[in-house]
Amino acid sequence: MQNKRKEPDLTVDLAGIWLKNPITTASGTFSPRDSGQFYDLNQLGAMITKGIAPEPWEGNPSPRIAETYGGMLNAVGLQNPGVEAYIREELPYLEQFSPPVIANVVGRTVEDYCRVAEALSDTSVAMLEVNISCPNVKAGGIGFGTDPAMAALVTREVKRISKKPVLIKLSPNVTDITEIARAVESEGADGISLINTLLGMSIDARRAKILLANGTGGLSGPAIKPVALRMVYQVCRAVQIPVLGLGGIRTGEDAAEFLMAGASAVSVGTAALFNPLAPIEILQELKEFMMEMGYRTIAEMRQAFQEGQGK
Amino acid sequence: MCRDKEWVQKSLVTGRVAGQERLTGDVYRIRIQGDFLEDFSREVKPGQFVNVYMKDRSTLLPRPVSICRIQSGQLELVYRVVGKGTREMAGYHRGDAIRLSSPLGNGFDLSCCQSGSALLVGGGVGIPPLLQLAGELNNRGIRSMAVLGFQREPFLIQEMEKICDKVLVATEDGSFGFAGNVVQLIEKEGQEKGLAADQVFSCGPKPMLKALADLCRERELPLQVSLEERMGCGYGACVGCAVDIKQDGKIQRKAVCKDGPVFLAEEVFWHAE
Repeated sequence: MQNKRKEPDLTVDLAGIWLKNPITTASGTFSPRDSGQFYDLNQLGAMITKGIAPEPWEGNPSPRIAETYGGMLNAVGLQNPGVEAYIREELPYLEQFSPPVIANVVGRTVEDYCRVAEALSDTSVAMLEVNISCPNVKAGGIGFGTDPAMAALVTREVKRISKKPVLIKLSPNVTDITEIARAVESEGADGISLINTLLGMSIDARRAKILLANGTGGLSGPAIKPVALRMVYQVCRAVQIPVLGLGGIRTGEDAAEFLMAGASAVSVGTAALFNPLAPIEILQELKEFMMEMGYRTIAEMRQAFQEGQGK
Repeated sequence: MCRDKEWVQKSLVTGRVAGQERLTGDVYRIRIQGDFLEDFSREVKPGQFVNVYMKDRSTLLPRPVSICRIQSGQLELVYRVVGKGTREMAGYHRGDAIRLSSPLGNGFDLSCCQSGSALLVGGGVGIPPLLQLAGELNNRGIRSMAVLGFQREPFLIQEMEKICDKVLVATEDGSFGFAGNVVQLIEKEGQEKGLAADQVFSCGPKPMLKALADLCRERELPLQVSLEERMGCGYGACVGCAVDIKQDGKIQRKAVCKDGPVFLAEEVFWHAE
């Protein structure tokens, strides 16, 4: 192939937002001030924040983290300072950097989600990513993300109030992910991100005790990549709206797999915990992979996969 | 504690193992060389730690290990083998590569120590960071006494004796020094000879720190404690290592890796174990 040495065009469009590259930071694994001590945040495609609730959430007691084979469980419990403190303290800091900010939104009721969406509507935030893996306290603690009707309800209400494009972040802890994806698409979601963590547990056999104080936790890291990739592939074929893919991405080739499966962009999460430089190393590796393979654009790479599959 | 306002660039570095020895039982000392140590020794504060990144990719998360000291162009880490990651570390030989982070966390606050004397209280693998602390106090002309507790066999005693005015040792089984724990030894020493210190610094298991905090509160001695918690990233991104801290009249969840590991004992909310 010609032009093998030419740098590829990594720009992507994510639900109407232009990103200079497809690498974003997964919610809950990125702290601008701390991550930014290791690399220049301006290199990122977009910055996705920790989950933001209408009020401060204190999260779960320790231990919150358990290492598992090729992955980890976390039960941080979405500790966050609340939307007011976020707008006052976090957002002005993020505004110093060029990549768009995608604010992750959490809630225990539909009203919670709406309050955060409303508060963020007149800020510099480019897009919302609504985490519907939280339990709905008004519906007996059933997760918003595990019931198509409830997922649809959150989407409808947030879309009604938000002036920003809205991604809905799906929980993988369901029987049929495409059913939930279609439900949120039909209520006007601008895009979908997936997957959130897989529900898991760890037991300390030597102490004969459950390891996490919360009991269960969310599994993430390279161990979940095949599950995430399968779900991204399925959802990309079930809906028309763009997909932000994540789950266990550790290398540039991992990112390429998600983009080939149909994702418009990807998030790097747990990899940034065991390598603070992961997002920019993955970006570099993706660039080199595309040069090696002769892909000039992300779309061209995706096209090659579709042709390879005979579709 | 020493909250650094200035923006510090952190990095990951690859060092070379200069040597490794077993100090006792399952406690090891690894010595690491590398060009980066010049920067480290300029920046490092007693009580900080480094992340050690494993080669075995099934053990994803870094192992946070407190800095024992940087001496003769070598970084010394003293650690106990407690699981897969530390077992891997114990298998490193001279010349092997070892992946590390810059010094992380906030160290002990020495701004309160302009003169006078300090009491250093350590338990087990909580002792290593006190060696660097003792050296720094010594440089500042502050006299220090160390009270060190072990389950059985002691380690780092000679190193501490070289720097501190006095070193007292307690072992749980009485095989060496005082039979009992460090708090009992401090109380005994206090009764016999009186105990004067302008500042107390401690690192060790939580029950020890809690008992020491009770004692220091009674005696009105200011105490700084270095805490431990299961960590994820070790640099403030995941907030996995939460500890309850009383500040401004309410309890706040702080990250041990970033807001600590050193906290004022009076601010720590000690949960019943």
